[in-house]
Amino acid sequence: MPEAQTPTVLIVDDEDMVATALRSFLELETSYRILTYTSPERALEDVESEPVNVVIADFMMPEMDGITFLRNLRERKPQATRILLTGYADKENAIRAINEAGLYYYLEKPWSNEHLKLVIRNGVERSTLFNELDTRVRALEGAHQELFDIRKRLVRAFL
Amino acid sequence: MSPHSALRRDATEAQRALHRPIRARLGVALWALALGTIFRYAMSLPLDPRFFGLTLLWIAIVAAAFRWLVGHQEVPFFFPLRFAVFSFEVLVAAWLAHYIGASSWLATLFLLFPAIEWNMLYPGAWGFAGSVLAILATGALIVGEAVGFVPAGALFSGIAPEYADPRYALGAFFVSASVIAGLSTVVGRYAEAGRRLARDLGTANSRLFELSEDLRESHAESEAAYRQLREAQAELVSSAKMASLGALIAGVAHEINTPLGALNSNHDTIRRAIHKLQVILEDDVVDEHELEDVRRIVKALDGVSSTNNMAMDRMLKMVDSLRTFGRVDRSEIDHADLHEGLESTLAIIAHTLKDRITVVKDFGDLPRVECYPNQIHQVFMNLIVNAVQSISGKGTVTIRTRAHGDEVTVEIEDTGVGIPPAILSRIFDPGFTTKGKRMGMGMGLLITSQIVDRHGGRLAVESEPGKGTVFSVHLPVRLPARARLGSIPGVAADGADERTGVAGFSEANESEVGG
Repeated sequence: MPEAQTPTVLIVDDEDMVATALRSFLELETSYRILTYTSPERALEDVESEPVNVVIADFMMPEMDGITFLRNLRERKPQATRILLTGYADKENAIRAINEAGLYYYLEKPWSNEHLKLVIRNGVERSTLFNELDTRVRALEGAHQELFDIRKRLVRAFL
Repeated sequence: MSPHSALRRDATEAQRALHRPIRARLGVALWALALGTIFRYAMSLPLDPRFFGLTLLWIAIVAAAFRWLVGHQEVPFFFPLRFAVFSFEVLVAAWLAHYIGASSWLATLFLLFPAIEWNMLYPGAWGFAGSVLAILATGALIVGEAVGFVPAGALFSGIAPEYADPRYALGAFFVSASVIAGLSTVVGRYAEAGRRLARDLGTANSRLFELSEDLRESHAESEAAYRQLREAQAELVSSAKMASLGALIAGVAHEINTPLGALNSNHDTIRRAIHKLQVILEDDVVDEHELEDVRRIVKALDGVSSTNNMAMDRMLKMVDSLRTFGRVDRSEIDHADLHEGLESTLAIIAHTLKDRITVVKDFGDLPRVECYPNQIHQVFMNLIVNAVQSISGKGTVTIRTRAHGDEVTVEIEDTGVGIPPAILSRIFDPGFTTKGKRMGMGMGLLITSQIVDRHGGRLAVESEPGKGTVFSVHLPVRLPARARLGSIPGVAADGADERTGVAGFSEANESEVGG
């Protein structure tokens, strides 16, 4: 399953130029799969069928603000690392974003590519770890269930 | 009661108090004249012309002196003058007594001074008793000489021989005694009144002084208050300028931040891409694996380059809008295309509109309008921002332009909360705001209406709570002469005022205050 192993970064910004700039940079510097959207609603629709590791969302978008978008995304992809990109250095919004959307990072425009790369790499790592933990927990649960079944069968055999 | 009316009452009272002794003295003088005439007639003696002359002189001098003294309380020699008049009266009375033959000079003065002195010291019954005592004491001397008790010639030596007749001397004594009693009473009574008057005048004077001090103080206070007001006003104007400038800058900064962010990132991406390409090209041989990398790099560069174009276009457009809006290159009267101004204003505040506000441009056919474009843009900015801020969720701002003959109308209509009728008349007041302190200090509409006013136009407002508000700017196509001749003060002189379009605000208010 090679696709699942390539981490996916989702970029949502109503400004095409920002989405493209981010995509160009990340495609050059990383091997992640990059998905870009200029409509947060479309992104939410499509995300159901996609694995997502990191999401970068703009704050000021006409359809839906970044915080609402990230909150909605959290319900669908709880493992994804959420990053807000904003033109406003607004403390109030930052706090709201952290509390409501369980934000991982708050980036201000204009951003530094190096910094962004670092944040995304950490985000991917975090999400991968979460996913791995999830897989392990599930495996553990499966094993546990199996053991339980075996025990049940053993008990039945002896009685 | 105000201090002024109290002072006026005091002055009237003082005048009346000064007139009273004149009347009383005139009475005494006439009485002396009448009694003297009757007495001499009874004694079959010729009337002495000196007697008439002195009485008339007395009346004239007293009347003139007192008339002059009224209203001249403040002259330095007021009290010496009063004393001189009084002394003159005493002299005249003594001469009168002497001429009717009451007694010698000396006796008459003996008679007069104690009588008047008593009355001055003890006005009322005691003074009168003292006067009578003095008169009787002097009378005893006269009677004593008449009856031979006092050596003959001791008192009467200075008078005409026919007056030496004891019967005549006694009659004359009684006549003069009554006159002198009257005079002494009058003088004594009014000396007290005079003292009281002087005291009152002193009080009134000091009150006047206090009042003028108060006035001076309150004048100084109001001057200080006026200065403070001017300062506060200047501050308000500058903070209103700063607020609109701040809104403008915030909009521009936000609008430029996005393309700048993209450009900044792209620049870095290009640098990295070039570096990667250099690394690949270093060994002159490009293998299959590296070729894949080169394709990837070129793809990234392609994306970056198209984004750069977009970003730069956006920034150029922004700068262009700003230039149209601010007219930093042309800050004088111009025949402006108002539509261009409206478009540039909308471009600057585009980030506050996004999809929330639908802007409907119902533009008619407008002639070019003679105006100060930067100021008119300020008007558009204020009105459109107000319209946008009045809409809480989604809504529509309609901008309608029409021309009617020599006038153009720009209407800015919103579907916002509207303005309650109760406050509709106050919205152009300085400091009136519904936005709280932070927004614009409530100077926006005031400045807007002043700019329109100074262009010879008018600003009208119609509003229905819950439905929305329409602001209509009516502008004449040709700028009125008063605006052109520089009565939009500060426009030509003060370049700093130019750019924010609130030129001449403080000057205009000054002329209002001055008028």
